Amino acid sequence: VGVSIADELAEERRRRRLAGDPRVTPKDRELLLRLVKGDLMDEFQAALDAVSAEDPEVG
Amino acid sequence: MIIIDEYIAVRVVSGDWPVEMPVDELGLPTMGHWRLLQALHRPRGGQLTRILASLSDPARSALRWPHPEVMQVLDPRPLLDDAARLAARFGGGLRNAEILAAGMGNQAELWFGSPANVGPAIADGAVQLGLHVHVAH
Repeated sequence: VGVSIADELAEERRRRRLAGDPRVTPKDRELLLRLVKGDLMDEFQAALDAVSAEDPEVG
Repeated sequence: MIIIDEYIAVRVVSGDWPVEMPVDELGLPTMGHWRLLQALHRPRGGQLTRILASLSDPARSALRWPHPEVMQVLDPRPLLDDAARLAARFGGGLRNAEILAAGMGNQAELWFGSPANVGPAIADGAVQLGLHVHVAH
C-alpha cells in the first residue's frame, strides 16, 4: 500500500516542525539553549519576571 | 494545539523539541511573546545580555517573527473576555489569564520549560479548569 499524499505532507510538516527555524544556526542554537536549559536559566527567568514585575497588568 | 511558554518557544525555534511533548501545532500567547521580546530588546546587563547580543540577526528575527510552521503567536482578541473573567476568578495579570484562556479555548495542554515559570495562579487555575500542565525536561 503506497503512502498517501496526505501522509507525505503531514510527515514533511512534522519534520519541519521538529527541525526548528532554519534561520537559527548551530552557534545560535548553542547560545539559546544556554538560556533555557543551561547555565543561564536563572538569568533568563529573572529577565522574564522583571517584565511582569515592572508592569502588573502583564502579571 | 499545545500552549507553550517562553522556554519552550526558544527551544522549538532552536530545533530542540522536548522529547516528551507531542508533535502538534504550538501557540505562544501574546504576553509570553512580549516578555521574550522585552528580554531581547531591553538589555539589563550581565551574561544574558551578552549572549542575546551575540545572536545572529537571522536568529533574532526567528524569535521576533516566529515562523508559523514552528509556532504561532496567538491573537489575544478572541481570548480577552475569557481572560478577564479568569483573572477575576484566579488573580494574576494578563499573562496568566491569557495562558488559561488559550488552554480553555483550544482544549489544549499547557507546556512550560521550567517549574519557576508556572506560578500559583496558573497552577491553581489549571486544576480548577481541568487543564493539564506539563513541565518539559
